[in-house]
Amino acid sequence: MAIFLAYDGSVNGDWIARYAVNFAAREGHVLHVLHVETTDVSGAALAEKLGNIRRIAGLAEVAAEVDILPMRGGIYGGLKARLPEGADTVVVCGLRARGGRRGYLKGTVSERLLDDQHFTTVALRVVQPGLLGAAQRLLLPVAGHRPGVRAAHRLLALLAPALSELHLLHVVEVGTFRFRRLDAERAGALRHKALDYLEAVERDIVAEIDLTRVRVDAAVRVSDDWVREVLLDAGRQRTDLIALEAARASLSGGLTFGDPLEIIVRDTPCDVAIYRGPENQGSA
Amino acid sequence: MPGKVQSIPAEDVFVHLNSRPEGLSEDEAAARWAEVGPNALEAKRGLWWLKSLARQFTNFFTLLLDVSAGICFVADHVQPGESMDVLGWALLGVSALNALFSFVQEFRAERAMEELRKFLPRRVLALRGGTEAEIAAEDLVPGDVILLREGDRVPADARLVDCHDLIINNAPLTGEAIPVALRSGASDAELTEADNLAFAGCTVLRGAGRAVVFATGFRSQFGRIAMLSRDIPRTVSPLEAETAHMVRVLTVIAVAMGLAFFAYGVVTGRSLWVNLVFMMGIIVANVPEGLLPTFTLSLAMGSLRMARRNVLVKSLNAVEALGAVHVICTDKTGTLTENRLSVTRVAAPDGTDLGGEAERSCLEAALAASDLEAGTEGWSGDPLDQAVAERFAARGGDAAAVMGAVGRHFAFDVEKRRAAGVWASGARTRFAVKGAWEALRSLVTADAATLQAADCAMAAMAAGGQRVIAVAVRDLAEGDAAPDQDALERDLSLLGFLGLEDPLRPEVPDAVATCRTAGITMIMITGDHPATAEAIARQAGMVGADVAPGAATVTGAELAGMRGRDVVDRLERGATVFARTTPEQKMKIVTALHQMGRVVAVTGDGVNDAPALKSADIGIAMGRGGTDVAREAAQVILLDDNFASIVAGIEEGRTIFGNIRKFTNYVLVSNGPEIVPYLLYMLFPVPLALTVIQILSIDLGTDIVPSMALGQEKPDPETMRQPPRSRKGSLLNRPMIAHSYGFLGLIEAAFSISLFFWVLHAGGWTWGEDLASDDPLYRSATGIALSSILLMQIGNLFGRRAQYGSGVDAGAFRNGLLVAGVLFEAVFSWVLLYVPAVATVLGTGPVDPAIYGIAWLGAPLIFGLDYARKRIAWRLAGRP
Repeated sequence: MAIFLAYDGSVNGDWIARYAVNFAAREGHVLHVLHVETTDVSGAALAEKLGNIRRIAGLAEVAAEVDILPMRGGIYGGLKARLPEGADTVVVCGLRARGGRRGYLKGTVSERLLDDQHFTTVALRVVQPGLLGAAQRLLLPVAGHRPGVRAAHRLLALLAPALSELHLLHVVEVGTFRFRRLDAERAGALRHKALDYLEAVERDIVAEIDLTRVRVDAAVRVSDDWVREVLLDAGRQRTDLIALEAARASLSGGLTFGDPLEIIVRDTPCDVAIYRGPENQGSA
Repeated sequence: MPGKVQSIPAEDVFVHLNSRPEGLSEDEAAARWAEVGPNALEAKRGLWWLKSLARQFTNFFTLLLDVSAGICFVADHVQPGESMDVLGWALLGVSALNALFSFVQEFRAERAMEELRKFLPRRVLALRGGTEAEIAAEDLVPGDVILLREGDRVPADARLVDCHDLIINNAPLTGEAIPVALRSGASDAELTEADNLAFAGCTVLRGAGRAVVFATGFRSQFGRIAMLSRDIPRTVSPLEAETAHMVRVLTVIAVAMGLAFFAYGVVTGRSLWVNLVFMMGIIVANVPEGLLPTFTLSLAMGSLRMARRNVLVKSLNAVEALGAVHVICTDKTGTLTENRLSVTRVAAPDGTDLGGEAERSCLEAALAASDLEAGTEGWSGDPLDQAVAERFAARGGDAAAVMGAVGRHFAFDVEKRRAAGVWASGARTRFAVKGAWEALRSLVTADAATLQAADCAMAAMAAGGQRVIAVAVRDLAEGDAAPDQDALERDLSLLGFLGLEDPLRPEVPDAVATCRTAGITMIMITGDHPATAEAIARQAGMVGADVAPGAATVTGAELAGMRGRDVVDRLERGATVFARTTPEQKMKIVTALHQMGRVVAVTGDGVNDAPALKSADIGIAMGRGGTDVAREAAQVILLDDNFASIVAGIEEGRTIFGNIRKFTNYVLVSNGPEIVPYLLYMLFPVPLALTVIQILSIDLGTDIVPSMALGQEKPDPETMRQPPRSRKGSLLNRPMIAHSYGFLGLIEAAFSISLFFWVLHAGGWTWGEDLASDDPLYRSATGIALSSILLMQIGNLFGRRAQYGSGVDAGAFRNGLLVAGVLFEAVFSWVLLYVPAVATVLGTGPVDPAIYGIAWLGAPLIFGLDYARKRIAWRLAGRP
């Protein structure tokens, strides 16, 4: 896999760079740092920041190759022109640092990269810079469909060297009215059924990725609010990183302020990675 | 492997956290602040309280009371001047009170967050642009350089880059009271165990340090505890679930019957208005309007009784939920044990027991290395030192004399894990050291065989659940006054080992036995050593003598490696002791127990216990030894921190539920004679035997005091001999419906309707004749129907006191409310017939006293028939 860092020169970008460096350390020891020229960051500051990335990459024995790109109808166009197509192209980018009313993903370059679906995109929000891009405890919420699993495998392979725990979580979502009246017996039946599915997903992952040093756990929760369950589980498991699949066909068409992805990114107690690969094309 | 913040050298920290030794500039800090937000623990977002308030006002419970109030207002409109509107307002008041009460309970949960906030400082000393400045702790961002000094609270998670003798108390985070010595070098330990990190909420006990912030607000380890404490939703209590189920069932019955008779009325050509009135009557007859307020009253009075047994209940639902508990997850120290150390054994280096002068000599040396102060109530100081003084005194030693002879004292050193002292023992000057054997072993001069024997002795004592302290001495030569402890600590001679234990509370074994009989599973979750934990569990009776050592014990390390399904499996195979666990692991155990369908009570005292307390069905905090955070997160507070009080609370909770069942059964019986008159009226050309106001006079009047009396019944001896009740269908189930409506309800209906028609017939009424509502004959007939129902409710009341027994015993007359209830029903049954003012309001009239006398037969009739049923049921249950 070729690792590309879409770097904007922000503090958040510096922290995201740690993840990209670690990914590159596992995949070929080359990190392609792409920066599209804007007026947001001064040349001197950018040079200092890029120098810092090179130093950190050097400590990890990674060669950081920096490309300063011109805009092509915007930042996204500039990046797109440089990015080779294919699932093995992994683009690491950041979410909007300040959410506010606009949200963290909506209207960002990262959203367009995720929507592009010609390469694997990992959009990150880093709130724990102390992790240095090496999440040890990963929470991987698994949806009830399989197309995103391939992209998840690629992300897992990149994160695997630092991982000590992988928690797979599947939330069986039921309506609030039904949930309030759900007895333990029926909840247990729903949980057991979903656990079979989740364990099949786990077997696929373990068969493909070397997780021998990683403790893998699979949990199913029955709830009327999967967003809350993901956030609570991240707290319970002392998760370092939540990896969420961007499953919808078009993010830009569906993202709103109340979108589950936006809520998780906003309220997260840990770093969040939103990922998507070319396999997702056409998935609902 | 990629680096972690604790594993990189101190000099690289600035590079990795995009900071520098002189700190961030103000602009950099502002930019980061905008990205990560304030270093604060924020309350719930926006208008959550409005949502909560709306939820309380729209739950089934509240809506039913509102509908009942609406019915009263309609009745007032139909029959003005009968004070129905007053009843309506009363019901609305009860509805509002119930909703507001629930809201206040939920709102109070936010106070746990307030308590958590107190652990973070308001101001902090930081380096900004090379200048030392005191800034608001909320303004800290990752990359900020902070300065820590003695007495400071750590404002955010930070990596130390420089420190001097820094000792920190991490108790808020780990629950471990023993201070931790920190350093700035790289560490390979896990994040929370690394000794180069300072965590938000913890306190600097000694020394100073410089650190770079790497996590703030909810992203700090402390913040995560706060976030979980805030966001974990309270589980619905068993009573809440069952009340909602009961209300739904009764509402469906009421509305279905109402609509069916409305439709029937339309088909048979009655006017719309008459049909509406009778539909309302059917609904009023079916809805036990007084039941729900009586629930609240019963729970409130139950909470007072619990408080008398040292169980303070913060939420009314918890009163009963405690009685529904299947599993108690309890701490060890302070709950099962007395939380005081006691020297239970003094052993020689080879493990044999010391006695006589040898024991006294060993204790004297240990005492000389202690730090105690004499007070009016004995010695004060470290509990271990107090235990040594107590044992020394018990062996005839003069502790005051020894302490007075101590010339120099070297306080317990966290890093060295030992304390020491120099004292004059007779003519000799001696140096004594006491501490962990691992910390003393290298200082002791002895041959390999002696040391090996000492290793074995120490291990054997530890395996027996004792905390082991080694004691060693050296005689000092004259003038041998080494200036520091290090120089004195050489050529020590091992005197022996002290075995200390935190004794089991004397009342615990009985409480545990009671739990066993009551089918309640007990699980100990502790941070202590597995051997210590299991030893206490065995003494308490939680682990049986037939269970092999270690078979019922799971360590935190094992638990960490278990998947959710494995934890369930291990619990099903009898895991009883969870030792060396972290507070987060409590939640893992609770989750597994919930998956097993159990109602779980969890005890906790520390800040970090708050999420587990909130995720349990019943969170129990310690009143004496607990933190404010734990107390705010819990629903129940144990005023004496005693496990036996939990068991007392469970007994009370079970009694309360049993009593709720009794008065629910009692109240539903009167629904029968309330419904039947409407059915007869709709189906046959007969007058209505009971009006809406008369029904409400029963439901909201005469039934209330007897219901409350049943709510005050004392615990049955069988209460703690039954297994915990099932989670569903225990309050309103088919047998209860059949018994209330189909048996006792029909008896009451048949008897009261018979008297109604008797009076009508005696007064000259003929079949099909219509009577005006103010016709004296009609008023007398409805009067005797109502009066007879009240009198039969007396028989019903006694019958409800016991499942199989008669219910007439001395206890009945010791229950003041019961006596009052009986008197009230008896007197009111007469008043409503013969006191004109009351008769006018209720639309009743007098009857021949002989008929009233016959109405009294209803009480023994219903009581006798029900008692006969009980005897048959007793026999069918296979009892002698």
